[in-house]
Amino acid sequence: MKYFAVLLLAVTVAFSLGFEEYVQLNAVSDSINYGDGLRKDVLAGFRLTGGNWDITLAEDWVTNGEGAVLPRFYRNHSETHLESRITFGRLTVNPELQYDMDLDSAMVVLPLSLGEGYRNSSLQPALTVSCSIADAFELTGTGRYWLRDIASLNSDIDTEWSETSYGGDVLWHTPIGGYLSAGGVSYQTKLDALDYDHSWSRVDVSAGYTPVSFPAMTILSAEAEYSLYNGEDYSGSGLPDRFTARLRAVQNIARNVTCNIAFSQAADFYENETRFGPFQSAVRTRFKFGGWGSVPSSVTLSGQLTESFVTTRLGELEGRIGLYGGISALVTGKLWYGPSSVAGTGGYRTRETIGGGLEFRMQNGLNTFLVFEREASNLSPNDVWGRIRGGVGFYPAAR
Amino acid sequence: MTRFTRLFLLAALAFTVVAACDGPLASALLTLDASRCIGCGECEEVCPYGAIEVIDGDAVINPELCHQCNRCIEACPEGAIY
Repeated sequence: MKYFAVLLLAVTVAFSLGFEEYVQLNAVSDSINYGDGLRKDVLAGFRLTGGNWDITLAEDWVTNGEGAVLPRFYRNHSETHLESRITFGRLTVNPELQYDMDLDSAMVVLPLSLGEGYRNSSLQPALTVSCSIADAFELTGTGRYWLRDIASLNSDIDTEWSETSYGGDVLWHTPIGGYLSAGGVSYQTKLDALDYDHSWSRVDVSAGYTPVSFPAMTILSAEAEYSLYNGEDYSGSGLPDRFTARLRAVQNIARNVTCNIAFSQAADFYENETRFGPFQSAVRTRFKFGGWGSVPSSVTLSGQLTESFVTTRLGELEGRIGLYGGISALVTGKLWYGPSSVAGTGGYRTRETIGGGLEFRMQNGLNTFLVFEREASNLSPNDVWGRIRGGVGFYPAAR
Repeated sequence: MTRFTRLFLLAALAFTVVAACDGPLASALLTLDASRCIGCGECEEVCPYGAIEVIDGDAVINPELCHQCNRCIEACPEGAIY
């Protein structure tokens, strides 16, 4: 991969092609003692562009430290993603290759209670072909293969866990401002050594409409989707068909205040019964203002309520206030209630987070930020703890 | 605030209250809101069943492998899974 990167760089210099690179390092501690439970995430990549093609190479390296207040289930892994997009008139071809290497063999539960195993690495090639016809029709087809290298704990058998998926859809932009779409996807999961071979598929038919006759500064869109599932869940029960209706609205209350509201309600159809499916209600209000620095300032307040077989409630505050030049103050706050996998919380817990920090965006594309956060949750005995989030990024193309 | 805006916000509030009174409902499939998902991959990392993968910036849940352990719901920083 290293030699490939060098080769691409040489091609860039030789032929004066477009070249964009970036590096981002984020670190998050999650503990009373700052530094314990440190999660480090390093992203690096570049994009090479030609006349009708581009190539993107991205590397993501993630490690998670011990000693956090909450037990971490996160994997330590390195992910390499190579993607290209080539356009021939109305036809676009998009090959991808992703290699994911586990740095300390992450544990996974094998399907059908076949025991546990360690995942060592995975390889994922994919190909997407899309075509637009006469501006109004779009056709897309995708094939994806996911091969996971698994070492089973119980049987001392090394096995390959593969998933093959292929699907496609056709989209029609109707002349009156709506759209109609039909598509489907099919997945097959196989673990050869454990004799596991299951598949499921889904066919979607959806329609949406965005009327243009509403009062100024109002956007309203409605969508309806019907999904037919074929397959079984992990317990052997059939997957239900699902109808989902969504309503989204954006209203500019004032010149610099935007309110975004979304509702979604699903209904599930089993063989002989119909049940209410998941419900979602969300609202987001954004207030933009000039501030005192060169970076645009904004404060966003959002809330969400969902009901499915679990309930979640989320209230969030995010603010970036320009202070001087590229220096901005960051403000964060979050109230969350939802299901908990932490022992002793009774299945649900609350999280209250409040924090603040500084961000510095330099003109050469270098960004850095540091945020101190205080989090409280109904845990015992450590129900309040501190956290530091920090990062450095270099995005020269953003200058 | 225009009359239309007030009416719209009132209707939205009423709909939310009525829908919320229904309480938790049984369903075998998790939902992923693609408009909220930022593709950070935290759900994929915490899933012990290997049932989630991030494709083209959106998480995709395999309903055949999902055991509804709710770890992805708890881990998602955007509240995109429910």
